[in-house]
Amino acid sequence: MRFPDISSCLECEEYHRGDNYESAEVKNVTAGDLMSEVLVFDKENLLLITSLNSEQTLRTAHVVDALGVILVNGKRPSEAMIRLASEMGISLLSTNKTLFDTCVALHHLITRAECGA
Amino acid sequence: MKITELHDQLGYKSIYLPDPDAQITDGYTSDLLSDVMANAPDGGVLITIQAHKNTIAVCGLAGLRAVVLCNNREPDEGMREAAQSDGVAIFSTPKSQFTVSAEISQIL
Amino acid sequence: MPDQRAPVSFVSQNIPTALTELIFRLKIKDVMSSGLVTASKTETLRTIQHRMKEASITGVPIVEDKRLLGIVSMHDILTAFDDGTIDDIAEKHMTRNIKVLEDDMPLSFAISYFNKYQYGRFPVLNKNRELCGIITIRDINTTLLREVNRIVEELEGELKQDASEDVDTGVASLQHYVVRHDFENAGRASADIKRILKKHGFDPQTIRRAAVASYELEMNLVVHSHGGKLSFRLDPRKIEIRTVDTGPGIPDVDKAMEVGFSTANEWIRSLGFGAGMGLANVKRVVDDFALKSEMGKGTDATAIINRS
Repeated sequence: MRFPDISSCLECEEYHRGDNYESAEVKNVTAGDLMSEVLVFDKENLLLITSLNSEQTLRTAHVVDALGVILVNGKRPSEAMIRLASEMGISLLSTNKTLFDTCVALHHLITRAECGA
Repeated sequence: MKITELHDQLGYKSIYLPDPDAQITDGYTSDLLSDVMANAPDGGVLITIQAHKNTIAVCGLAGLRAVVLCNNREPDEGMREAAQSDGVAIFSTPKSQFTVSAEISQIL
Repeated sequence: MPDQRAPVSFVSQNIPTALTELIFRLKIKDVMSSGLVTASKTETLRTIQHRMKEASITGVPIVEDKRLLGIVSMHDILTAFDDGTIDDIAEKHMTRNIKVLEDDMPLSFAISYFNKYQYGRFPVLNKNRELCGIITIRDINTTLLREVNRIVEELEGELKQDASEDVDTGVASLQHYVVRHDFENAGRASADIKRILKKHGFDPQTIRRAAVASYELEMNLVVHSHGGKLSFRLDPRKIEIRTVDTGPGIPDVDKAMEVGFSTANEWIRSLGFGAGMGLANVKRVVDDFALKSEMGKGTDATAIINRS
C-alpha cells in the first residue's frame, strides 16, 4: 500500500513526506510502543505505527530503514522529531485513531486494497 | 464475542481463563500502561507484549477482561499471580500486535 | 457521544527526565498520607464536618473494621447544609462505589487517575483490601518538590559529548560518551556509525546489522548503566562496536542474553524500552559477541561484524 492511500484512509495530519512519498510501497507493518521489539522485526519496506511520541521512535525507524512512522491517538510530534524525519527522509504522519483501529484499517488496506476504517 | 473465541476461533494459546463466559466488547492495542489506563475501553481485551504484573493491575483499573501477549511472549510469575488475584485472562500467540488487532476486530 | 477522548497521558516531552523517573519509581505508599482521619457510618455529617475542619481536610473515608464503606466529601457536607440533612448519619449520604488505588502501585497510576477522574483524593488499600491511606494532589506535589530538590543537588555536571571521527582509507573510528538516562541524545552514536558506513560504501544489510547492534548497545548504556563510552572502529577486516561502562554490572550474563528478560522498571517501559530484546538482538545480527561484567565495576561488550 502507498502513503497517499494510507494517509486518506486514516485521515492523517502529515508532518513530513519522506522520500518517494507517492510511489513507495509499504510491504510490512509493525505496531507497538516498545522500540526494541521493532528492532527484531527484520523486514523491508516497513511502516511503523506507534503511540510513542518521542525522538527515539524516529531513531528506531532510521535503524530499520522504515519508510514511515504513523503516530496514533492524535499525538503531535515535536519540532525536533519533524527535523529528524526530514533529515532521515522518513514520512511522519499522525492519526486521531487508536492503535487498534489503525491496525484494523491498514490490515484491510494492505490485504484487500480497500480502507478498513 | 465470547472470550473463548480467542482460543477456539483464533487459535491463541489459553494460559489463564478465570471466567469462560466473559464477553469481550472491544480491543485495545498498547504497550504504554499510562495510555491504557487513560483510554482503554471497559470490557475490552488488551493486545500487548508487556508480560508483567503491572499490565494486569492496569487491566483491573481500566476494566479490561483479558490480555493477549503477542510475539510469543509468556507471562512471568508475577503476572500469573496478579491475573489469578484480579481475575484477568491471559492468552499468548506468536502473531504480531498488527495481525492480532485485525483478527480480533473481525470476530468482535 | 464523542468517539475520541482527548489523550490524557501525562508523559509528555515537556516533563524533565528526572521528574518522570520519580513518578514511575515512587510507589503510592511512599507518597500517601497514612495518618488517617476516618469516621464510622453511624456518625453524623455534622460531626464529620467538625473533624474535617480540625484536620484541614476535604474528604473523610467511612470505615468499619478497616474496610472502606464510602467517602464523605466537602461537597456532600455543603449539600447537606443546604438540604437541612446535616444531622443525618454518614451511612445515608456517603458516596459508595469509589475509585481506589493500591499502596504498591507506582505513583504514575495515581497521576493518571487524577487526570482521568475529577476527584480530589483517592483512598488507598493494601493487599488485604484494608484502607491504609489517602492520596491527594497536595501529597504528590509535596513529595515531588522534596525529591526534585534532592536530585538537583545530586546532578552531575554536563558530560562533554566527545564524538571524534578519523576517516582514512578503509579505516575509521568514533568515540561517544553516553550519559545515564539521557534519552534525548540516545541513538546519536548509532546514527553517526550508520552515516560513516554509508560513506564507505557498505551494503544495506551490513549497515542495518551494525546499526541495530550499536543502537541496542547504546540504549543499554543509557537505560541500565551509570554512564559509559561507545567506541566504533572500522578497519579492512572488521567493524567493531564496543561499549564500556562504570557500573552497576550484570548479575547474570546468561539470563541477560535471554529473549524477553528485562530488568527495566515502569518508567523505562513508559519510554518505549525494556522489551528484553537488546542483547539477544545484538547477538543475532553480529558475527562475534563477547560480554564481560563484574558487579560494582561495570560491563564491557564487544560486537564484531566481519568484512568479506
